[in-house]
Amino acid sequence: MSENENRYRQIFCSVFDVENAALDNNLAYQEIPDWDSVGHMALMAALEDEFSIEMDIDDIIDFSSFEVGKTLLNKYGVTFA
Amino acid sequence: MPTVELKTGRVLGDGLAPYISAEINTGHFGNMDLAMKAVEAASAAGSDCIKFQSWKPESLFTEKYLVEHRIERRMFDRLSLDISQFRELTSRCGELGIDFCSTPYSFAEIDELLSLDNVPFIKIASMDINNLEFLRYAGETKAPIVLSSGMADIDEVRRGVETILATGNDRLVLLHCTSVYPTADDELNLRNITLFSREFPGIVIGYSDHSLGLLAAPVAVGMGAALIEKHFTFDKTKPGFDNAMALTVDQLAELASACRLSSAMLGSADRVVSESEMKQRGVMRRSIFAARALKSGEVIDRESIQLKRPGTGLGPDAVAQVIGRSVSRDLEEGDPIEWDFLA
Repeated sequence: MSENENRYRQIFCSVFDVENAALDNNLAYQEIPDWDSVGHMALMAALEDEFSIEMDIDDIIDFSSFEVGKTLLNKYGVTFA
Repeated sequence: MPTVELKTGRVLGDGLAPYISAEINTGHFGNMDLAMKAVEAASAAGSDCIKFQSWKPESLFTEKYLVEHRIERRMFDRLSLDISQFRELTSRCGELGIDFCSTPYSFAEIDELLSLDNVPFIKIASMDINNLEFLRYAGETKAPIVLSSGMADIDEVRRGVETILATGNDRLVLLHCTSVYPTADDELNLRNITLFSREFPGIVIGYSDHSLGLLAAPVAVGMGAALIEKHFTFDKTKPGFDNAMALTVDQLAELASACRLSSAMLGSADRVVSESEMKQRGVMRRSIFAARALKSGEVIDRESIQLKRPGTGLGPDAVAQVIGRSVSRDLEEGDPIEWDFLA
């Protein structure tokens, strides 16, 4: 697992108060109670801080799952290889 | 029953056709093409109104908060539509014959809303039911007001209603609402519609539905809700402010139809036997028939008659008048007893 993958997972765990083991690529928006619209904005802010990026609002709106998020972050140079 | 005439002339009240307000909220994601598509979809789904949100970041938050919560600022900036865009949307609404509304969050947004065509009322969000200066400002416009009541206890609801009425504006629709998105079924408390009807007998009552699914709204109509507000979206998977409990467009059409059906099913509170039901009397009720052969002059007792279908002759309610009378002709078992056959 890459360092960025670890950092990415850690943000999810911290923002949504979930165990690392609960995270998989299929995890989607609204599937856990804290990932609602308010939680989503907290997640986006935390990811921007962690990776020192500023995401386009379209990408924030399209960030609909754990897996899609990784694809979107690639656009900002955050790779998970 | 109280009624309210909207700015568009439509009259709302319990017993009248329910008014369906389709809330797109942020489902347009700030995209005018999608907003226009939402107008068309709401109209095609049979909604009476499509409702947007007039919010700007500064209408809701302090500058300090927005600096500290940059994602919120960017989201609200992106998801907000401006007055010129609203004007385009109202124009399309006019073409399609659907009302346009947008919830304002500032005095300026109230003024902007009322400057547009096809606006039936001012919608006051639940968050502003204790914002008394805002309620007074809205009330003093004399425009009809639809007031949501989520998060408010009954004293706060009463104060909100009285604040608007005190401006001399009695064109008010009060919505029962639970401000949880989505609201669990056992927290909907639809009996609050009955409570509001009792507490505010001169006010038209409606329901802002944040539940999942289609059942709550038609039930609310059955309890007297004259206006139903329900969120819809084109894409439930996208992060937005309300997508979790928003309906798809097809579901919105189903809900509008179910609410109207619910209203039609309520029908009249007067006891009326329809012509079609009257015909059923002849098929389903009983008549008096001879239980055995009766000779002319024989006196009828209870054992000499039977009560059987069809109900085209003398009914069972005539038994007491038949017993003790004599027959004026010979009758076979199964012949109907008629007044003409009695001496």
